[in-house]
Amino acid sequence: MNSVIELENVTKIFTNTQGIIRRKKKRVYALHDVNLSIGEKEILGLIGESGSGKTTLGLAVLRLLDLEGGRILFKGKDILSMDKREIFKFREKTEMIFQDPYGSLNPVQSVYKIISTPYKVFNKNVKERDVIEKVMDTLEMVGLTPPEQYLAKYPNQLSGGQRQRVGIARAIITNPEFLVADEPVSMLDVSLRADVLNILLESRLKLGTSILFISHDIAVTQYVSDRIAVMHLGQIVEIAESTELVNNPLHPYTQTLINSIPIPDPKKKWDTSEPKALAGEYNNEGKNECSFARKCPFVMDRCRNSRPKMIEKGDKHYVACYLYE
Amino acid sequence: MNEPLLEVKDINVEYRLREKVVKAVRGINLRINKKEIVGIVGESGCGKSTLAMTFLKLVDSPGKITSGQIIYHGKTDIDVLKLKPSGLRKYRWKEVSMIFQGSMNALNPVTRIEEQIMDTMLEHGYDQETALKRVDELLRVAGLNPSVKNSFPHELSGGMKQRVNIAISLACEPSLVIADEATTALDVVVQRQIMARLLKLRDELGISLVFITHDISLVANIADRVYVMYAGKVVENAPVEELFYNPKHPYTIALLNSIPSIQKDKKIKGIPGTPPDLSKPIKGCPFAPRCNKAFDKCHEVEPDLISIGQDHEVSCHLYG
Repeated sequence: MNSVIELENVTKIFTNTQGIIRRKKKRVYALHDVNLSIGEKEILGLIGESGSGKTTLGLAVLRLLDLEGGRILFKGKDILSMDKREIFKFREKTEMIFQDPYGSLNPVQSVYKIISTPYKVFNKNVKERDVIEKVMDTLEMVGLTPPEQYLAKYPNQLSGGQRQRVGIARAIITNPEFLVADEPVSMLDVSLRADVLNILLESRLKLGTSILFISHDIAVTQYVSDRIAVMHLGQIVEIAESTELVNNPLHPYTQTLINSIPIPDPKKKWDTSEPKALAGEYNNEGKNECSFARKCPFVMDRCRNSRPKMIEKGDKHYVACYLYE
Repeated sequence: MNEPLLEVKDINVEYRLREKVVKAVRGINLRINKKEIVGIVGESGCGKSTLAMTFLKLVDSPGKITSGQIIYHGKTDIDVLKLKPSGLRKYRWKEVSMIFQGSMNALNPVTRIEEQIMDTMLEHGYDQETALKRVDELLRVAGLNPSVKNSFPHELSGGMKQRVNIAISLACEPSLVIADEATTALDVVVQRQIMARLLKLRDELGISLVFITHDISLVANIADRVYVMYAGKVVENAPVEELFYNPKHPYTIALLNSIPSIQKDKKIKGIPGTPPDLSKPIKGCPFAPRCNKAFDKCHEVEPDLISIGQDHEVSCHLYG
């Protein structure tokens, strides 16, 4: 499979200045040596707790952040060393769907204006009639039918689910090759989530778009993704095909995560046993240790002194943990 | 086990706004038994939080409880809605307490945790010495290191703050704790930890719990009995196994079909349409416009909650 996006040892550091008199700079590694590739027409799920660097990764692959190390390749080209023309092309081929359907649509623009703008930017000499047609087609694709009814509406006349569909329509109208969907359903009501997820799956089929699907909800991620990558404090700790990852998690962090997911089946009722991982929170300060070492119930000495490398354990199942070496 | 602790009888709540009246809760009957864990699920705007507020008589202007009765069976029976402020003071927190939605952001940022927990106890008649002693114990019960008491809220993570709130909710030894979306904003691992704590409290202290949430999967894992709410009403209620394996109301069925599960490989389906506007009069069943089994009667007459089989109630014309 050809990869659309490839990350090579990507590192992103945020510095946090603390103290008023004695200023101390604290470095937080939001992404720490991340290697990842997303194939053509693939939906890659990215899961992890809040603060694990999921969103940072999503922004980085869209060239919305500078990096402290590593390279990101879009179809073999380094996105950070692109020239202006190449960047323009890159922007046409990559799009984003945002988490908040209420904050991400301009309230004073009509649905038509919102959706047509990206199309017009990248198709300068196109007739208005064709734009309208294109917008209507796209609206139909995201299930806003009949489309004529929606063209003149404003975001405040739409429900949350409809707004999120407009957000998807805006993203797919340019036929992007790569989409980042950052928690696209977490702000929607449960009953509306399913349809939005199904639209994403359909648009992948119709347009062949690769999608980076960022979410903290593992059940939702498994539903849409081909493969899932698990992130913990700026590092990818495990990657595998969705069902494999959920049924056979290897990394202690993934195991804790999977065991904590509520399952809609009363036979799986919870008891009073708490997840094994130790409590406490900390940041990745770039130390030479496994990112999970300080919480891991199986921690060994070498976990504190070096970082485990990704190794293949079973079919296309990769894990970074010394337990498996 | 089947002794009732709190009984809600035909409760109605309205929000009287300048231009309209929103009927948020429309005639709900509900019963919470001793040592029972009750889950109340529904979409946003279905009135589940408003309902929870009535348990503590916390509904405030422009909201108004227009009718109904809430009976608490403590040492004596208490008619909650008739309580005077002094009586409410003895009832709230000592009998029934609440963990509010987003309450981790409700801690006072400039006082230490210890003081905030103690305040609650001092307000409810504990003396300084006992209160001071109890702080450590409460923090431990909530799964925190007692040294946390010397911290300020900003020094704690979201999960830790939420546990401080659990400690505060337990400060005056209540018999019933209401958790309104208590873990929605938290990580799944932290959520699991907090749930394990609460389940342990039920076993050890014999308290009852009410979980209000939109996460129907979570309810499956912790509740004994589930109430499904839609448009200000209970549309179905049953013991948890019965509700999940033998759901009757089309809304419950649709809701269960709309959630993905890591255990099953099934196609999920959303529910078309949106819930009705509760400021307008509702004709017929409120779910009828979104229901795939609706027939003429559904658009004309609102169904009553009727009993079908053991311990299972549903409000749907298909069964009446």
